[in-house]
Amino acid sequence: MRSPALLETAGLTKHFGELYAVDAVDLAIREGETTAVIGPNGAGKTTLFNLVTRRMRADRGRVRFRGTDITTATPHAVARMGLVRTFQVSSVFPGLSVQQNLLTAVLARTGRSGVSTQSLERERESLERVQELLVRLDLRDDANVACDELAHGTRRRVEVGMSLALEPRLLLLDEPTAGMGTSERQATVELLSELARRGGTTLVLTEHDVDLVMNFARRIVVMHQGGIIADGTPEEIVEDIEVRRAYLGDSR
Amino acid sequence: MKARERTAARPVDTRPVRLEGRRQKWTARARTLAWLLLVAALAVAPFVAGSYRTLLLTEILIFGLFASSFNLLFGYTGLLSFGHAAYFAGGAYASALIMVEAELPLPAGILAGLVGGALLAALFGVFCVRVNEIYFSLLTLAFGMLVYTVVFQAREVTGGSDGFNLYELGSVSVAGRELLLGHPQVFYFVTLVTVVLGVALLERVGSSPFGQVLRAIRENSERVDFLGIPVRRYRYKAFVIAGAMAGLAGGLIAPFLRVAHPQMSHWTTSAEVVLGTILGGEALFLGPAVGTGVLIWLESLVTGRTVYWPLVMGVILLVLVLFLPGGILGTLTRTYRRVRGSGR
Ligand SMILES: Nc1ncnc2c1ncn2[C@@H]1O[C@H](COP(=O)(O)OP(=O)(O)O)[C@@H](O)[C@H]1O
Ligand SMILES: [Mg+2]
Repeated sequence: MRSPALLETAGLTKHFGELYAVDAVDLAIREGETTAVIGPNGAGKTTLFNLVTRRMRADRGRVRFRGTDITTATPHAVARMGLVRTFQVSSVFPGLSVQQNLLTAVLARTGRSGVSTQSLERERESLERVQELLVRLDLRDDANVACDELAHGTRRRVEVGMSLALEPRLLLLDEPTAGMGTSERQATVELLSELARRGGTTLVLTEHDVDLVMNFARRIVVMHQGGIIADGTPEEIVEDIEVRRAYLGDSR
Repeated sequence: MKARERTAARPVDTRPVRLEGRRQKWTARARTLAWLLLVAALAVAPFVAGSYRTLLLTEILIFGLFASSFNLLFGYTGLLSFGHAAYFAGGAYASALIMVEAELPLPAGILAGLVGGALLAALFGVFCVRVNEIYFSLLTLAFGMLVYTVVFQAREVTGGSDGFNLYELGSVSVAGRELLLGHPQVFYFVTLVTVVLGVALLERVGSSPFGQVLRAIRENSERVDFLGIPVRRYRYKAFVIAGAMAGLAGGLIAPFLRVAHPQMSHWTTSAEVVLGTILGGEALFLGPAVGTGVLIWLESLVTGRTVYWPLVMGVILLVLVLFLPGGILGTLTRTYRRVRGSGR
């Protein structure tokens, strides 16, 4: 018997004028099933994430997370339930230091940010948690650097760090290695693999580099023109001729 | 260290938040000491200054609190209110009404100012925090104009364009001596205690985890939302606290000037703290208070001699934008860091 789905979409649809960016997508993600969503530019991957995390309103269809209908929930409520995302264009706090970025996420997790006259410096547990994250993401050298002065790849790591601080049940990563150099890319993949092995957080990511996800994802979903055209293990996907034509064809 | 160019509009905020260590304790102590020195200097001032200067300093303190409350929205949360005078005036009318109609003493009047500002902000804030950026500014401006129109028109309650006058502030007996609260020096100390409490509260709230979330909202409110923090609720709380502290300042201004006047709610009064904040620098806690203080002081120098105050204002603005990015305090700290940095 398969474990119940963590995330489930039914007939999820979003169109911009004539263009159906996401077209009647039915997708179920089970706990622990690291999934890569691949597809050419404009296939609808980001829009799918936007609908699921309520950044955008769906035109049709429903989304359930951990058994609860979240089709009309607010983004912060969705995040609070444990469904967290990163953005294709890194979304961080540009004028705040790396440390402050992470601290904000830790405070969001612990909920210790109501109106008070308590000094930040006394939030010992939260600050210790920040130190752990700085080490884990290799960000210690940049701890006091403002995010808008960081290199592109480092900024991405900050965003991943913030997401990890939230200890999500499901983490959606939109092109987590985009714009990274080879070694940085490898380090990120290792970090994410370790995260997937650890359990507790299920990963879904979109990616351009097919080879990268082949070794890493247990399941690959191929999108094309808003729809899912293939869905299976990496081996199955490689076999899939339709996919070859739609996507892999130009990268072989 | 590599040079980092910053524009005035985007202050860097990279104050390290370290676990308490020896160094940390020392800087915390230095900060406390600096605050104590400032308060001590302000406590001695009226004995050195004459009556006229004491009155001027009282006004500066009151507007300093008003500007600091404005900056909880602007500097911390990134919300530029163009109608913050509404809560200042709300506080002024609340304190005047309580003292005249209910014949309650001065402390009750001051507290009524706080409550009046908070209630008004709690009401208008519901609408204002729903919108972003320029729409927030326009909506706060609209509510400010609404308040102005209401106090101007409701002649029976507010006295209309004449304002609502109070004459007697009463007296207190301290160590067997009767002190008239209306006496410049006595009122100065009432103001000093109130302003120090209000400003300290704002500083503590700004340095708390709540303040950290406000800064994050200023930087990228969408990110905050997707971290699972309800942005609107945080903005609302900041709006009400800012309104309450503006009201507290208003609760002092009415007994100080012996009148609550529609002008206090006018958009030009709102603009005065906006300008003062930019003059002082919004990235530093005391920036807005210092800037507004300088503005009031300059105004007192100029208006006695010339009718061209608006022209002087215009020149100040120009100099600011062109030569002092980050405001007075921002420029001073930058210069200080540069001097210290090159001396090593
Ligand atoms: N906000 C928007 N307004 C109009 N069209 C959009 C918007 N967002 C995405 N699209 C369009 O929807 C399609 C899918 O985009 P997207 O989801 O970003 O694809 P992917 O992430 O797979 O590259 C594209 O054709 C894109 O131009
Ligand atoms: Mg995309």
